Amino acid sequence: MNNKIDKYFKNNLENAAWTPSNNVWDKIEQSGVIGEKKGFILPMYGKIAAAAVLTIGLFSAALIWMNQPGQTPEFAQQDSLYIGEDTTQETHPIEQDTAPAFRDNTREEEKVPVEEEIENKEKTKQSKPGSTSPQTLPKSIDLQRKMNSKKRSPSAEEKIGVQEQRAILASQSLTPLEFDLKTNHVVRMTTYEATNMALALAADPPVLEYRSTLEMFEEAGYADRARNEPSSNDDNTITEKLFQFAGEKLSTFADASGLSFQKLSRVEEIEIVY
Amino acid sequence: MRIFTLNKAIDEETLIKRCVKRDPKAQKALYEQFSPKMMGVCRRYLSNLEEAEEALSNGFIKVFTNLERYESKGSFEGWIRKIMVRECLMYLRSKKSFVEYTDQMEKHDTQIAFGADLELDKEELMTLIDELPDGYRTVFNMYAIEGYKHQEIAVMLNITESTSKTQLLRARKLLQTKIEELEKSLKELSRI
Repeated sequence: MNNKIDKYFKNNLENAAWTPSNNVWDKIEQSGVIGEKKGFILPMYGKIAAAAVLTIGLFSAALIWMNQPGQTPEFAQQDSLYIGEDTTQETHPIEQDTAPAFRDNTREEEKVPVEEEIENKEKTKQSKPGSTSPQTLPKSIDLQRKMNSKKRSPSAEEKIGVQEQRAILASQSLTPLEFDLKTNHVVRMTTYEATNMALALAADPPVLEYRSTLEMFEEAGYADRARNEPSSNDDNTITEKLFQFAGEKLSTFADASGLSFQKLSRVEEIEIVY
Repeated sequence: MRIFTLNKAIDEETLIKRCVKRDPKAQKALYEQFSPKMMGVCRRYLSNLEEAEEALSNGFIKVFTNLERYESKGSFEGWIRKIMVRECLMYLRSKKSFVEYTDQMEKHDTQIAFGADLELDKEELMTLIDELPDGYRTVFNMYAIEGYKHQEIAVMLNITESTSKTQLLRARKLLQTKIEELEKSLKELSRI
């Protein structure tokens, strides 16, 4: 076998060094892998756990609500939200036993400002001195309470505009995920959030019992520490694999729950509508 | 010498641990330590400088992202090098540079004569490698310089072992021809 050429090139080029331009480091820095973890591919354990708990909680609440007898997950335009107590039975597209509905965009005249809403609530409280309702902020939107309470049609007084609604939710320091869930019933998640949720949903034992993110990924079959290699033989990176995994799990979950699932793009967002 | 090796090993281990904890200074130090050599690796596979730099940055992103998976079993440089090679192969694969050859493997590899007396610097050698077609260059790099076996190359490039061997032989022949041409022109220059 002729290997003189091989040896000649190996000896001269194997350890040959070239100075890369500064752009290379800039690009690495921009990717977010330098400095504190930003939690994209392998986020901190605590962050994963928090995201998992949050998403499981939200989905459980949504499932409980949807599985209630007579519950119809049917929503009008999701521009504004009905809140507050009401005894009136005004005409409304959704019947008494149906879920809390979202007002149609076209019915702008029915909107009332937050201040008016607060006043109405206070008046109601004063007129019922024996009331044992919990001391909650009149502006608060308690989704769980609405889920559990008997569903009825809201009145115009119950409705607030989307701006006010956003202000209220912002004042409660809600995450965008919670905000979307409470207002639009549309969850837009980043790949990171979706992956966490999928892993949380799929994990057995539950996600909190894993000692590390990597261990969980291994359990899911998407990491292999024994190989001591960061990427697989094929073209898919770990990120892509995890995203695929998340997509599959979420899709299955959505199908089983009668939800509409749509993967918006490969690495940007996942949208779940229910 | 032993002490030096030990210190070096400790330093590398410490550096890796700090990088796993995302210490930016350690990450920069690791990059500065390995980037020139790894740029050399990428340059050998990708003749286009921009592509080589792109592969280098993507490779380092993977290194930093997956550093906690490195278990100190083999050489750290070897581990990084492997990542860089794979990153370059991904680039080449996206360009579909590997043509499957169906013709018979050429038998005259042993007849290639090579006068290793010729002294070429790394730039000149790199130019010779750059002039090879992508498929030849990749197989030559993997086999002759990185030390992969034909079986491994076949798997990694999704080609047959026979194709890998053929491309290696053709790469050697082409390099031989180019070196001979260089020798000739150098001799002519010296006469003048």
